[in-house]
Amino acid sequence: MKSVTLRIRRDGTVEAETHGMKGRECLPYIAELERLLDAEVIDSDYTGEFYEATDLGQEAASTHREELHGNQ
Amino acid sequence: MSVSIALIPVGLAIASAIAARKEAKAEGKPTMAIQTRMRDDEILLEALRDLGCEAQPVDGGGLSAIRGAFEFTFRRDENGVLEANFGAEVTPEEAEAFVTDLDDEYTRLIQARVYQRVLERAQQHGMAIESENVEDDNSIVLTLRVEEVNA
Repeated sequence: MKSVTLRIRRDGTVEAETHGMKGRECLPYIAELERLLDAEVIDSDYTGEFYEATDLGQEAASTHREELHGNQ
Repeated sequence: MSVSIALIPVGLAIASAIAARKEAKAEGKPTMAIQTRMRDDEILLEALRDLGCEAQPVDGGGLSAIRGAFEFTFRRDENGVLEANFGAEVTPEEAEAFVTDLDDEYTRLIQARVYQRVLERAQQHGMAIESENVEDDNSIVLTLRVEEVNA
């Protein structure tokens, strides 16, 4: 099942994590969550499973990190 | 699992320490300013009233408020963040304590609004609430089942 966990902290900030998505499938959810929460992304990172799911090597992983942070 | 994200609601500026500073005299009176991380006049107005202040918007933007014997104002800086301004009758310690309490109430309201927004709008964004839980630190944890992205 694809899902998103939201932790809405008492200080007003929000942490979100996607689950069950393969590779780039998670990327559209960054902008979608900004719209849903009326919030701005201040930090983001791929989790280990992103690389496991896509069987990426180290070089590709580095490229994806640059894409993710360039997406903000 | 694929990506983790930290977000800050538009009503909040990225955190900065609350610290009073003396300013030059304004209109012949000494003033003291405290930078807040609040950006939303409507939420600030509600937070002030929750703390028992008389508060109202002022012409040209910002708010004025009265609490007990002292008056203070909020005006927006060049980054759109509200700054609290106190007169000389308030000590820096009193002002900082008050703004700390106000910040706590403001963020409580932000948290409640974000939660309510998710309840009301998740479906429009292709998600459905699977579970929710309030943790010991008062964080609200929601699990949303993803149905479709409308991006």
